[in-house]
Amino acid sequence: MNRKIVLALLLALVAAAPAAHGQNAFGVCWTPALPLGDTDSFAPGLTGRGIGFDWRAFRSREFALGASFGWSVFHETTSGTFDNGTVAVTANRWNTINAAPIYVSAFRYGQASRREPRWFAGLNAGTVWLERRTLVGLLEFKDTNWHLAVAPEVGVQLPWDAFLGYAALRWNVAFSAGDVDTQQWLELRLGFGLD
Amino acid sequence: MSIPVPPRLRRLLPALAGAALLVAGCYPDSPENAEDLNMVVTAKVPGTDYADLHTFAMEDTVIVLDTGDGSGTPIDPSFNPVILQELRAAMVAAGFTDVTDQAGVEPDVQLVCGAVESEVWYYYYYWDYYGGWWYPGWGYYPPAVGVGSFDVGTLMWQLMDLRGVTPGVPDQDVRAAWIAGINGVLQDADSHTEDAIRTGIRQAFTQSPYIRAAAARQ
Repeated sequence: MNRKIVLALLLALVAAAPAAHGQNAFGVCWTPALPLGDTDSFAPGLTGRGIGFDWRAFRSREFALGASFGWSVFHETTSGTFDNGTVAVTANRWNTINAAPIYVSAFRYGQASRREPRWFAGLNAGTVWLERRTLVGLLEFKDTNWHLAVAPEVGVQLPWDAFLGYAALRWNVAFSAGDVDTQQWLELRLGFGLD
Repeated sequence: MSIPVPPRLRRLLPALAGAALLVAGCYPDSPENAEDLNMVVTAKVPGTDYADLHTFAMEDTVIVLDTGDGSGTPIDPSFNPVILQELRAAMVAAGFTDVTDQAGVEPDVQLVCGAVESEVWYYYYYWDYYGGWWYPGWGYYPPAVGVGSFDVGTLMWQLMDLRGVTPGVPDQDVRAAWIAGINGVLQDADSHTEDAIRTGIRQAFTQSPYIRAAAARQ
């Protein structure tokens, strides 16, 4: 159901974009991320494994609609004895989260020329395909769900001749789905393009 | 301050960055050899009175575990003496009295053990860079699926609670008091396998402090 809603929104967005006669922009970014809440409990620590793709259609100089998708990997390896009072297991344990957000988005840009940094703020909404996997010795436990999600974002579009295209901070909140609680992570988006 | 970047290089940077990130893979730092998969599992049985155990007996046999389809392959029988010796030593170290050879003495618990040489298949994904990032259409091969296999070996044992069981009477229910198992006992050399067996058995007793004879609890 979530997928149908997101796909419908994406199609509507793609259909609406050319009517705007505005500029289309595409960006690719590296997204190091810091897990928060339950995500941090499962696979703590900063991760550098992440990539994002952004597309924006400017309806005016200050307003853009867009779409975004990405992939982040959170991982922790531990070893030791895990005891629930009845069963005790001594083994290596690999906890991994693969998260792939698919968002539609709207952004407001500050007034400035392309030779100046331009601030932007916006909201992404859509779904996150999220897989939580635990491997203990030979045992694998996997939980895969589509989560409804929102992701507020602030950033800056750098001047057209800068080495980097844009930098942004996005707070991903993927609401609980199935047996998995709400997952959150804060990602820094360092990207090329979007100008 | 900004750094001017040639437009041509600038167009390549996004793809370079993306490709570099994909190398990380879906499951970083996954198990790469049998030793990584070693696992010691123990389970206490609810309702068992662990406070009043004194004696044990055990057979000098390591049975072949049934893998469900009747294809269980026994591990090298040369390891059986190591298994039995280590289990017996661990029980004695836990304060139990071995009454195996004492005729007419009924033990509180009977230790039975089995093993099987199980093969475990696993899958992994990787991205293989073929070089030449400047080449038109440059990129990476699609993710390939690799397959590896380990002969890990599994050893399991149970303490059967014989308290309340009447000798010589058939068809009585005999409950397990403790279930323990080790995955990954088979290693790349016999000496390593022996070490894995000994280490695994000791760890099973260490993580099960309730397996102590009454005398050892005082």
